Amino acid sequence: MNLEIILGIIIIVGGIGFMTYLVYWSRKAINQIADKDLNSAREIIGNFANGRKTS
Amino acid sequence: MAEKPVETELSRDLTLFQITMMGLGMMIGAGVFLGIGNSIFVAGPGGALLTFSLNGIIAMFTALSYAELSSAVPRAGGAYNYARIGFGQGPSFIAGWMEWFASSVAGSLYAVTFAIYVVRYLEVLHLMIWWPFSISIAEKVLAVCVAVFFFSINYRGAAETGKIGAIMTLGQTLFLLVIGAIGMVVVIKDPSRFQNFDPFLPHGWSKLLITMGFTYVAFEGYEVIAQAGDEAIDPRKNLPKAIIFCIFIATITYVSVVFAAVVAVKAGSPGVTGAPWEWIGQFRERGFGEAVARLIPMGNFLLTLAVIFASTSALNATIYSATRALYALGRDQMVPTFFARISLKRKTPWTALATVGILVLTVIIFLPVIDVASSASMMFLLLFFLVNICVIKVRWHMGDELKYGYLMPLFPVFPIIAIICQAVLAVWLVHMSLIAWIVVPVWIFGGFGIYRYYSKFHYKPTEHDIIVLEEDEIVEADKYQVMVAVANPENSIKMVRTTRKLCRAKNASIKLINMVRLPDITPLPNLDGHLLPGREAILEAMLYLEPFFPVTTTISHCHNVARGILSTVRQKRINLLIMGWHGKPRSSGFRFGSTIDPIIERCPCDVVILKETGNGLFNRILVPIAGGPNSSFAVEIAGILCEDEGIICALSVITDSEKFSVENFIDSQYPVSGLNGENIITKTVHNADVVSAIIEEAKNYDLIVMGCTRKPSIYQIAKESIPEKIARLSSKPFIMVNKAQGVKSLIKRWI
Repeated sequence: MNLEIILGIIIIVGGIGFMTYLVYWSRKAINQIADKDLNSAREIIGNFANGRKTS
Repeated sequence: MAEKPVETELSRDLTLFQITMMGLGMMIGAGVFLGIGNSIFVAGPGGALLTFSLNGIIAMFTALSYAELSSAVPRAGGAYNYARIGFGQGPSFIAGWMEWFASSVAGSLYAVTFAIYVVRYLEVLHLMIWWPFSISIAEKVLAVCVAVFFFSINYRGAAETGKIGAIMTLGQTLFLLVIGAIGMVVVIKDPSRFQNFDPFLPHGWSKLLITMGFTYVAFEGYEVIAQAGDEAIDPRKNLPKAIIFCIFIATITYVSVVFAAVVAVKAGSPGVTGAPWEWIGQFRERGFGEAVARLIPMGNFLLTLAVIFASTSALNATIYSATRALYALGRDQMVPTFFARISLKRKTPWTALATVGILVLTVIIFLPVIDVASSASMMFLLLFFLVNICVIKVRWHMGDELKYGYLMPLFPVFPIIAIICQAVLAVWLVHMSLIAWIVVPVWIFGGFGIYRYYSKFHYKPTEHDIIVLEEDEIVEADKYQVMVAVANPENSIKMVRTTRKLCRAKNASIKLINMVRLPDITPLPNLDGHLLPGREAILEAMLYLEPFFPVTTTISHCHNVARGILSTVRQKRINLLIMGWHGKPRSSGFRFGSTIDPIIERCPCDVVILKETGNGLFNRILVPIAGGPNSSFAVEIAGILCEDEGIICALSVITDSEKFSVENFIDSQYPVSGLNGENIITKTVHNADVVSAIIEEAKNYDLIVMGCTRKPSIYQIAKESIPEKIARLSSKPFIMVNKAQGVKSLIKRWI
């Protein structure tokens, strides 16, 4: 297996994995924002930051 | 046809599934079917896989921008709306103008693609023998018929559009995923087919840019979801979800289908000469079909069926998108309101739909569709470019004013990467079509002309978030305008004396405003209870101010008080904003509160915030000085508020490392502040703890006047600023001032 194939597989798998994570993260974020009835960008960022601290 | 000007609303009945399918329907159009064979030919088997994976990631970055903006501005118009909020009416008109054109022309491309494939299949079945005219006429007639059919579907209503589109898109997506799954099964059964990927990139990495350029069209389409803002159920939640799901599903589908196409052909099987990827690539546009024919029985027939599904669902979605773009322009009177008429019976924008129909049919009949479609692709890329800039600007500029349903992670890394990638792809399109470089500038300059001579004079923004409930307007355009935001009678009374002094010094007219924040579900006829405190506050203030100054009053309903106040400041061109602060402890993410913070950071005029100033006399005023523009403004305000025989003390607290001369600073202020120096004293204190030193000094004074800090808000969220600490810890009346930043403020507004 040459370097091109290894790099290619890393890019494809990594890219799709990254996209999957983005979709998962975004879905979770959208539901959280809706559930907590958050409004402004600052309020949402503050809430997420608090969530990270407490978890 | 029943009609009525812009009084009715679009019906809100599109579900998450329907809008996701609409986006997918527009994406999985002709692009992927034509692109796979070409990608394998140009970049090889691994290059084709990389092409669709990398394009998916780039598209995802822009999709995140669309998701964030659509959640904050969930209204029909898409990029047009975002540009209006981010950059104002001129760029927004051009964005809407481009979006309308791009979607309409893309629609005509899909109609023609449908016609070409159907006619070819009829030829294979020898059913075209009876047709007396040429094949091209047959294609055009069929394209016109299918376009007219889908215009009638769109006229029936969004739900019908969504249902029909959803069924067709689901069919084609499932078909492609089944092909991908069969490819997986085949390769598991026969692992030798993995050898089809060797060499992975026979022509090197450089060919990737070419294939990414011409297949990016397969990733355009999710913007149609943003157009559904007026018709989607729970749009703040569903629009961003649908956009993100759509890109993800499309990328997975494309990558699995490319994989299946490459492994579909077994090396050395009958008719296959050379490496399998070379054999597929030689068929170019038909390569995918040839490969699929070897993978499943009746592959050619099923593929034709899939192309028919794909073209028609893409046509359906582009008609929808183009119609909403034109409707939004008409709704805001950028073009005549005739284009925003909604059918009372169907609740669809029938005039916009008819106009899009005329444009699509004209392109189908008269114009070379492929070149004009390249122009559409270029316009989409320019639109995406604009949207990525918009998302950065809107978050920085109005992040506290809008109600977001979604925020992208790692902001602003993704939009910046997307901007760079799209710029490269847009430039690359120059090499694909020369006509695109003629059509795009002509259409954009035409748009500039219409804006310059029509839209600019007729534009009427529809601020859905801010509704003026009561307004008593007497405009004195040349006067210095002071706006006083009052919340309730108590707060109003406390601000009267200070307001009077400031307005007298500025020879100003006064606008008293009360912003009523209401929950979304409050019906307008039940507003009286909510309006009462505001009315009383305004009446109290008027009692003391109206005898001396021209006073106008407004009570507005809004969902976000800061946004309401800032919008009014911008619209009424206010010079100075005065408002009170309750002095309560900081809440999560805010220094002074969710209303004051955005106003201090974003307000385009000077701001004076009053805390417990009451109606006392100020004979001794302390002005802590740091040397910036806000210090100058603080000295000016102190000079206005100080009684004739009073004293203003300009205080400088020097820590070890600083070298600042308060005497020199005050000397430099005399010409600009109008002070004469007789009642100003200066004092320098050496203390490492600035806050304690100021609070200690303030014990001998009646009032503290202080400029806001100009450090970015992100630092201030992490660590309290000095004015904030003093405002909280000192028991003295406190005034905080913020000077509009002039040119710097303008630059900040633009990015």
